[in-house]
Amino acid sequence: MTTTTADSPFATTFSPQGDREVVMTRTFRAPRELVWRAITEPRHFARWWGPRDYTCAVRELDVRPGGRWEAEQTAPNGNRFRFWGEYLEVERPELLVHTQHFMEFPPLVVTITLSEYQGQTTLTSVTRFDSPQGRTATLEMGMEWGARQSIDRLAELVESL
Amino acid sequence: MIETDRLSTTFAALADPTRRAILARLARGEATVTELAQPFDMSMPAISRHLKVLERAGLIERGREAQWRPCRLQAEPLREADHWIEQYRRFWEESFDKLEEYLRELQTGETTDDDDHSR
Repeated sequence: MTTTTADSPFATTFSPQGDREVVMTRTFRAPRELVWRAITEPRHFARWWGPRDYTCAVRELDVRPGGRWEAEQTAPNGNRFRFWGEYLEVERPELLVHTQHFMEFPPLVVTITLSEYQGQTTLTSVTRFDSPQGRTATLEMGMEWGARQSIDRLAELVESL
Repeated sequence: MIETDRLSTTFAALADPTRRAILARLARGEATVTELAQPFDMSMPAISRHLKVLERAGLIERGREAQWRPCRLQAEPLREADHWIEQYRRFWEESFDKLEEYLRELQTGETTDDDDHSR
């Protein structure tokens, strides 16, 4: 399925792919070099990564193949969620592949590519899970936003999966 | 917490386009096996096999009326699957929204960027 949050060409698209991948794209009004820095430099990364009402503390972003990263999300209720992993491929300013661990769940592999066109940068993120079950477990994340599903949307949902 | 094994069963059942089409049809109301088979170029046994997978996953329920056994959608597993997808989407959508705002700040100089040692 491909869904967008708005009709804007800058909206996020979100597409489960097969049974163990999720593809997301988002276009930013910024040059690729700046987007690269925002996703690889700790002081920038901490400013945007995570849900709006969470705060992010970056422990380490050692952006080179084999380098480690670690960041902690703090929920409004004080609960903390630690994420960490290893960079597998780093090709500034267009390709960043890393693993992501969360609690005891199987790690997932995130491939981020950046492409620039006329001063705008499209970020494509492919998250690959160890298995459909691993995908499920990892994404529980202990973050409860509450279901907001209604029966009316079920047809739309299954048609779009 | 959603039970992960159950979600895996749900996702496995949803992995097939014919089964998703059957569910989409049932979201509009119950139907008999014959009615469900109609849009597909498939034998009745083939459709029945898909229905068994959906039934095992708890996604549909079959009536006990011997002759007709109409199929009904069971919404709960789908709600859980959608809830899960929604959590992941929300995490990233909000992150990307924040990144967009932050990139704008960086470009308009609202955020000091004088300790730049990356270049």
